[in-house]
Amino acid sequence: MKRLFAVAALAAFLLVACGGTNRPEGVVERWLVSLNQGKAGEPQKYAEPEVTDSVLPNWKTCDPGSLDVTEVGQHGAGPNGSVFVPYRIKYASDLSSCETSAKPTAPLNGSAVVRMQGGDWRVTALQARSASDPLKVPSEGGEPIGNAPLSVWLITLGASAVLMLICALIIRAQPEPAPLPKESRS
Amino acid sequence: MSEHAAEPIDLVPEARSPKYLRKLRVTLSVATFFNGYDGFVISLVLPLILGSLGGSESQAGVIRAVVGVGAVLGFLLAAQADRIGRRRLLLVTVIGYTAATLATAAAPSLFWLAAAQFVSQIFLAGEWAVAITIIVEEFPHHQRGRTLGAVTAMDTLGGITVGLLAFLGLQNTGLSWRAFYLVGIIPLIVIAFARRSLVETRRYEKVQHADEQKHHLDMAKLTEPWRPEYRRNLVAVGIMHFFRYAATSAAVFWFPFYAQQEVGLSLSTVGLYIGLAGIVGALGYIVGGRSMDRWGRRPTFIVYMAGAVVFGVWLFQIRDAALMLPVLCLSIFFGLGSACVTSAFSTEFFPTYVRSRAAAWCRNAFEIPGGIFGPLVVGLLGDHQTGPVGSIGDAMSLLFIATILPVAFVAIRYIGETRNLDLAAFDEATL
Repeated sequence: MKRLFAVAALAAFLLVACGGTNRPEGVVERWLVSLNQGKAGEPQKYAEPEVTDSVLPNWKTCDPGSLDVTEVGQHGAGPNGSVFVPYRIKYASDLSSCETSAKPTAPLNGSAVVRMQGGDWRVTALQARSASDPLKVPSEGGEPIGNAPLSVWLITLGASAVLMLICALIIRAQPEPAPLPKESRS
Repeated sequence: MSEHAAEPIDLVPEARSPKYLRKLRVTLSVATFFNGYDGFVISLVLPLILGSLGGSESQAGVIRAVVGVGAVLGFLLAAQADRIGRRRLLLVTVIGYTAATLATAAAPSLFWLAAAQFVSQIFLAGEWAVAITIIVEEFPHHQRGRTLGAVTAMDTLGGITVGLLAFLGLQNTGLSWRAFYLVGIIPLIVIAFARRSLVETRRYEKVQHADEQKHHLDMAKLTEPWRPEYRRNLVAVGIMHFFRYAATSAAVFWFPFYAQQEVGLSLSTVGLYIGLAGIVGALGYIVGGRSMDRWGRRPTFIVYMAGAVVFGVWLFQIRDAALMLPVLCLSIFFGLGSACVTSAFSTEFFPTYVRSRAAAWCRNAFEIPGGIFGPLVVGLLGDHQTGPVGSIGDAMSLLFIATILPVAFVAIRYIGETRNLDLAAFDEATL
């Protein structure tokens, strides 16, 4: 019962902790990952159809893995409540499965314009990013989407110590085992 | 008194011939190889399956969960080895696994596929537990560690083979993803040849024979390993299994995502890295097995856990592609390689009549739930949209710190050494 309570408490903590965050970078990343699933993907959930088509025209017919690289960096503020999310994509060498003569028009190194619509972030446009643009993806030296502050690392060390204590208490509560016979004859 | 003195000698089994042990090692390696193979193949071909049978990402998540539940339920089958014998259960699990894998290859719908994979995992879980039990009971004590290392290494090689087959383009054949599951017929072919020469373990036969007169050993009760005399070791070993596997399975699950989305590596580079590191990392099992025989289980495990926490934390903080490969190799070497030591702990601490059930408890009731818990926590914490940490790399590093340090602590404080354990004397004490 105590163990069940501990698991429930952890689950509640995680749900509460996850509840207050809604990063636009996550939506851009999910859109690209979903777009890269071929027929099984659902990129329309995250972006306007014309934006999706500019990356992979006729995407429903494309094989999974048409994008060899999909990377997203930390966002910057844009006009009228929008945000710019830097991204980098690289196509797989063969896009013949996409069954279309239309070529992708989206910039390989660009920024996704993301707006809040009906309580959810949505990709509404893509624009090119120059080398001098302050927005960068991590592999270009930009900031990662998120990271753990020092306090979280310290809390984790503390949690590890607490876990050790709990393990010790649980194990010591069990009866002492019989000594193991040594010096094997087989 | 004289009768009592004669008993210990009766329970010391005669040595098997080197030829038989070689053949046994090959047969058991096939069983563990397909444990790794099956674990990786579903991850690799899931997008193709969704494309072929139709389905969404959320349905893919449901399939994963169903497969995970099958592995947990495999406990009920694995525990039967103490009742029906090791040999019989090994044959049952191989035949069952092959049938379920063929059913997967023939799946006309997602529901069929999920059901077939669910059954397949039940048999695979049983196969793993009985394989390590047979090693402990058949191989002489000075070879047990290295044999456990060699056989458990096949788990990783099974995973690498999936990548190799994908690299060679098996998915591009007319059978597409189904071809990967047709490969699963190989264990049945091997067992068909090995079946006649494969015999029951002598240790199991001796204990069963010795108990025929007294009938006081319970060979069927699932909770027998929880008896007071075994409970403390079962809890300690179980805790180690849970936390170690929570970290390592999360690392295996999330590394490709981390490398692609947070470091910016291409899918093909990540595949190449995993293949190369897997081969080097598989040496971790071999070295671990030999170290177990030479230095002991406990010191080997503590060194492996120290290596796992250092290289595991480091791996998920690296942003440099060139540095990532050697650190990935060392992470797999220490993190996954430690499985050969935990497999020794889950069997050697328990007498023959209850050994397979103890291994099943450790593997199915502790380790596999850990394998569900770890990736889930990292996903919740590191989710790029909603996670409080917002970084899979940081969430993974935090998980390594939170879980591997307690594992090392339990090993140092509460785990005994079983390198020179006299299994016959252990069995005698239970009769």
